[in-house]
Amino acid sequence: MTTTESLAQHEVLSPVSELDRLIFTEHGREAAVQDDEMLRLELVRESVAHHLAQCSAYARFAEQVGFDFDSLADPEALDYVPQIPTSAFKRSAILSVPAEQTAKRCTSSGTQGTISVVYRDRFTIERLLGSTRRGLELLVGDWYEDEIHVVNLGPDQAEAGDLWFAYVMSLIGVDYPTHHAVRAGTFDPHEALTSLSQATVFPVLAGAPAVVMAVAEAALDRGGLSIPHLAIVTAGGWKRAGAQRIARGEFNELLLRAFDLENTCRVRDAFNQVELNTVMLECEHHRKHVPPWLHITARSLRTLEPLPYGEQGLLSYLDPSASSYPCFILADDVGTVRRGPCDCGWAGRTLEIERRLDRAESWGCALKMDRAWGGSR
Amino acid sequence: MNEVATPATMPATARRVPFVLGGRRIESTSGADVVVQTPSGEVCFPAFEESALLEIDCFERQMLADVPLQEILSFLNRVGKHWKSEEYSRRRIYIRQLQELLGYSPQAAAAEADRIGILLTAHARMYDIVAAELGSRFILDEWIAREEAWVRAFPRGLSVHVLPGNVPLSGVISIVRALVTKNVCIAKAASADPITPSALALSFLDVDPAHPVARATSAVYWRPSDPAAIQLVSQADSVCAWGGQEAISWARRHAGDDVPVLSFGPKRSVALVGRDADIVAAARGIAHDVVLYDQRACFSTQRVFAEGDTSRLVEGLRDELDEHCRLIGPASQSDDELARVQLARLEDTFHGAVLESGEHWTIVVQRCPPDASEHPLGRVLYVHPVESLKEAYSFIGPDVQTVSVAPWAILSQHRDALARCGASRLVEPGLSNLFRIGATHDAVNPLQALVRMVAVEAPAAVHGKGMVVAVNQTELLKAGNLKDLVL
Repeated sequence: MTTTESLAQHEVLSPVSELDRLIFTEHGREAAVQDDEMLRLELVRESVAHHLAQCSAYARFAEQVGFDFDSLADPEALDYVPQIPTSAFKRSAILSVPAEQTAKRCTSSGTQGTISVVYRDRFTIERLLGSTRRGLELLVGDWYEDEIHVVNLGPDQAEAGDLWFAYVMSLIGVDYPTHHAVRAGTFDPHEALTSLSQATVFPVLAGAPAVVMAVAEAALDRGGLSIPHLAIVTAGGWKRAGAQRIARGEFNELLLRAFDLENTCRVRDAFNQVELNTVMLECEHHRKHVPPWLHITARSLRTLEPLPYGEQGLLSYLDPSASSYPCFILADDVGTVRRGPCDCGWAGRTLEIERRLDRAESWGCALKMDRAWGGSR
Repeated sequence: MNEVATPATMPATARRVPFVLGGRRIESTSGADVVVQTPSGEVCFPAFEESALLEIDCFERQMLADVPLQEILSFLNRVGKHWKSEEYSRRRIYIRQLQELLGYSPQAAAAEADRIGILLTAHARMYDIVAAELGSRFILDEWIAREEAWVRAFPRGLSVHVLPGNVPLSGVISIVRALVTKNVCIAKAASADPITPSALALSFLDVDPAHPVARATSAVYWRPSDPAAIQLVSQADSVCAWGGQEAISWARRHAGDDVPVLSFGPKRSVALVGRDADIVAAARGIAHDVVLYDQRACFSTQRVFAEGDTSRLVEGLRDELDEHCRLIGPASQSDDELARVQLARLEDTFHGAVLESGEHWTIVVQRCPPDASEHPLGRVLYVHPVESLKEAYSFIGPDVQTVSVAPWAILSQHRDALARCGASRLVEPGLSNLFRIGATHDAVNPLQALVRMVAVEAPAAVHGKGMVVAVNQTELLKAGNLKDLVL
């Protein structure tokens, strides 16, 4: 038996799916080049078949919009897989597994009204964790895992509860030694600073931009801290802290001064939303890299038709990493998907989130028109 | 969104809109101009700065106090006649700008100018509104005997109005309320409708810039962070804020402690259709209430709760929505608005709703979801079949302004419960935009917040009702029979 035949046999017998191999294998930069459309098509096909069989609401929806599974034969067809508007998760439980198999009820922050609820099983959560860890590869490259020290400007998992953003941020602590700066609902930026200054090898500061800014300002009050190799990961946007919002460039410069960073490449933003099961992190060139299993389409705001790479539109996702619910979603973010090599060395696709879709109320709903009055912009 | 612009950076397409301050047109101040993004264009305002505030400080706040109400109404009537004339150039400019900057259809823009004309010429109705809200149509000019007192309504003085952008006429109503109560009015335009206040104030100047009503009317724009704006609100004698919770909180935060803040927050409206309704008439009325302002108004019908089989109602609505969309073309929709409507349609399809759509409307038939507060607007009408209209009660709260009810005969069965749920107006379908004389606005009488009701009370010589002796409390105390004051 040749080595190739032996490997082939081994693959056939492997209990690990191609999807899990992609998510959980440490790749280094080279592996990201494998942004294989055909592989993605296959993964999504499997996932669509699973959810059509297991989620009656999704199957009914697919039928109503005239979806033919057999048409899912080439990568272009991915753009026509039925996608559920994320607002649908506000109205009912959408499940592809029996309720007793779900392990976590995940909720959005509800900054735009009613909260979304997404139920995840263990598989789905593990894959989410895998995507987080994979995203962190962009952050540091090679590392000794036990040398990382994370200061998470949020609560630990127990305290995070169902709230998705806090939960996702707390996941970093699953893989690495972590200090949680929120205890019993109280956030102390000075305690976070103390913990940071005690980290010896590879410190990571993670939190929402507004709380990261609070820690940076606390550092500046002390005359600044010198941690040039500190990595800072922000996520979740400004949400209710909109009034404090500053431009990204200004934010990066503030952090540069506060922590004497080597450069602003040490500051990275991450993207996720409660309905999406993959976390995307920026590389040092501040581009969010799309992992190979995730299909993202920007769609025309006027027609929802798919747009070519590089054009701004409404973002929609096919994420085969979720097994407990059909993670084929039409979000209300506007952004751009680009394809091609990045200066960081990773190939594949990158995602730029530009803004949230304006709510009906901000221009439409009775009298809620003059948002500018309230000082939010 | 707004930003500071220099002449060099001001977009070539931005329309300049002047301020009007105390009867004077102000085209620029020493500060940098401010560019405001409108739904379909840009306008450029002078900066609202210290100099404007100083000018307002010099206004005589009681300048209208001695002007008879009939003179104020006569002046408004003269202005209104201009607005009704299709040859009036300011009306023509206004209609054009409603289309260019706010995306209105030609019919909707012309109808809005007509409504402004109708409002301003409705002097007889204004007397009735004053009488209904303040007790007498003479009360702004004279002391009116009221039991054992004479009361008169005095203007509060400087009345600041932060106007809405969804319904231009609402801004005009707000300004007219201030003027008929003899206040000096500072109207701040919304970024979503930056043109109406200035157009109205300029039309006052067209008639007579020296008239007290023209001098008492100012139209401006400011950014929330402008220190002069915050200072102005803190000096106001009354504030009327239309807008979202943020806007209202802002006004309350900066207004003086004892100053009334009249607030008209965001609202939604619904219709109830009973089993015995005349389906054709109900559908016609509901279609009208959906099409007007493209559901952007607080009184726009967004949802219908209909008893029994809804197929005939839906059929009627289809025909009437087609007809009303011909009568009032839709406003141009932004990309985001269109996306919202499409997302809503998909979401409803996912939840098993039956959707029907015409060129400019959508009907969604489904059981009402637990949270019925979100709506994409854009002429999307949800029809919720119910066994009994009582099922609709749980979807009605204080955020519901208008409930239209058909047939009218069943109103008495529901009105008390609907009012207790939080609804503030009950009307027949098709009349949601017509505020009748005597009606309240969001459950208040707005004129009352704009005046001080001062009382002159009867002297001691006048026996009070139920009293049989002169009111001499000292003597009564001495005699130890104070309790005899009222027998």
